[in-house]
Amino acid sequence: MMMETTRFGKVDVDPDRVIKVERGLYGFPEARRFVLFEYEPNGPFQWLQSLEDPALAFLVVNPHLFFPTYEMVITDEEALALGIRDADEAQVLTMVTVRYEPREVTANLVGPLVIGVNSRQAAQLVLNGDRYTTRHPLPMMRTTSESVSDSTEPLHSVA
Amino acid sequence: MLVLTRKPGQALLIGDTIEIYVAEIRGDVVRLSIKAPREVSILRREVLDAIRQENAAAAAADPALFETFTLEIPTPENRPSAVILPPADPEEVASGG
Repeated sequence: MMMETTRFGKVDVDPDRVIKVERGLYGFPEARRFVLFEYEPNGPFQWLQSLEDPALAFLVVNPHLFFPTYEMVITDEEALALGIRDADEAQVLTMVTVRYEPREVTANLVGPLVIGVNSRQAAQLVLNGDRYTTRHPLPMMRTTSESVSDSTEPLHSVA
Repeated sequence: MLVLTRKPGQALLIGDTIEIYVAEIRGDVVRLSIKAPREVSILRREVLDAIRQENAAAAAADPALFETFTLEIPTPENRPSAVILPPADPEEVASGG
């Protein structure tokens, strides 16, 4: 099926690849169907594109790539609802935030998106405890640009 | 909104299955003990607010800005496979923090 998106233009979406988030995302209760696009070929990042809102897309990443010890608990009820019977059947993604000020890229480790790889059902879970933050900085080699860090412009909102 | 006054040792019942017990009051801190069915989600309000706020910030992420970062990605050998642990003990959820 063809879908209109702000970032990717018209895209052909395989209905079998649609991710259904029955409860919506926190703050975006209406956004319930998404697809994943590669940010760049074979790169770690992906776009989680809303099918309801062409302008709504989240940069997401597998948190284990950056935080190898990251672990989370999923309750039996949640696992059942997402059709997850085994850890292998769960795909975990965290939303990534890019900021001008302070200049950083962070991952929301408190509210991961868990996708049942077979059911394509997903939910944004909330982790209890204070091990993780909603703004965990991703480790950086170095910055390649000198100019943007001086910018005081607000982020361009696409929501 | 219903506003009730409770003392330590007293409890509230919400429906037939949820009990909120005032375990201790010390200064400006109240410790609550909550009994609820597993499928009832119990969350700290501020955690949910933080996630909502972060979702909004993430949705506004600028790809052009992101391009200016070079991130350090650990090598595949270092990546673990285990993702999910056994379910949490409900008592831990109820009394944590």
